[in-house]
Amino acid sequence: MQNTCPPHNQNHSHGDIFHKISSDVVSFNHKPKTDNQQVDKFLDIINDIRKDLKERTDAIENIYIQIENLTWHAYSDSELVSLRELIKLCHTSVKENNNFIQSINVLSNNGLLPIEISNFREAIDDFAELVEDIDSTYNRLINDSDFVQITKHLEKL
Amino acid sequence: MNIYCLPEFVTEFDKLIKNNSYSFIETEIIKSYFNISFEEAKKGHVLNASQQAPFIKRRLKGSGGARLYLTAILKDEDIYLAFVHPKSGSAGYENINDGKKSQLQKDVLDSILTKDFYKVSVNGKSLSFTPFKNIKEEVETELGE
Repeated sequence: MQNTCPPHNQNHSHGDIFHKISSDVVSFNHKPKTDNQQVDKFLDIINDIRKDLKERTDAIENIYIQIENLTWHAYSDSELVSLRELIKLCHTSVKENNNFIQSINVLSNNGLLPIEISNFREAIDDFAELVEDIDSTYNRLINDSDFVQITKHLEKL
Repeated sequence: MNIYCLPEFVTEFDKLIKNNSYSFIETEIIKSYFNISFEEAKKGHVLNASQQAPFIKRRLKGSGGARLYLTAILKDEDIYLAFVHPKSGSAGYENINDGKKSQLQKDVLDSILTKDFYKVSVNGKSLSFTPFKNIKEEVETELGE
């Protein structure tokens, strides 16, 4: 078998070489302790974001159900004013959460929290669609006389 | 509970389920409207602010699945499937506009008044559509009218 070890520098003794390598090993051994702390800190941050995204997803799904239920009731004119304020607030929420998604996309683009970010994005997309629909129902179609007449006709069948 | 649908729904449905990516629509409709209570069948949000004849939009297979539009006549427990569209893929789109919503409501009313709609039933794992006029004529013949 051939010796594959590189030739030693003839100016250094074996003792010097052992000492140099020992020193490298000692300094290497010190490094992982610092890295472990950084990894732990990083994982803590990722877990916090994971938890936050899950809570946000659950919250927006809960709001979705509540607003869906709202559409099954009749409202007085004064209640409609409050409902329209709620629709405005929901539009703002959609805008802010879409900006938030833009800011966390860098994580999923780097393979971090892809499922949690995707679930949150879907929940916001659904919410945005619902908000657009209730805006259409209570701000536009409610004032469309043809649409209202057809609805009244269907109610009398 | 009776499940009916509009001629446009049949046209759209037949076109969509030829594409394997959209075959889930048939399974989801069967799951959502057959062998369940009327309460379950009218899930979704109301687009016309009506308590007697709600025009309902329902999600099929979650966010990226499809959207189904229907009118429910609550006193008769009748459901009229009006339109369906996928959210993604080659035939998919985000939402329908106010003009389309108005048109669908008008189509439902016209179909009911002219009795130009289909009775929807399940045949094995598939939906089948029978023109309501044919059913009416068969019943009248049987009764000797």
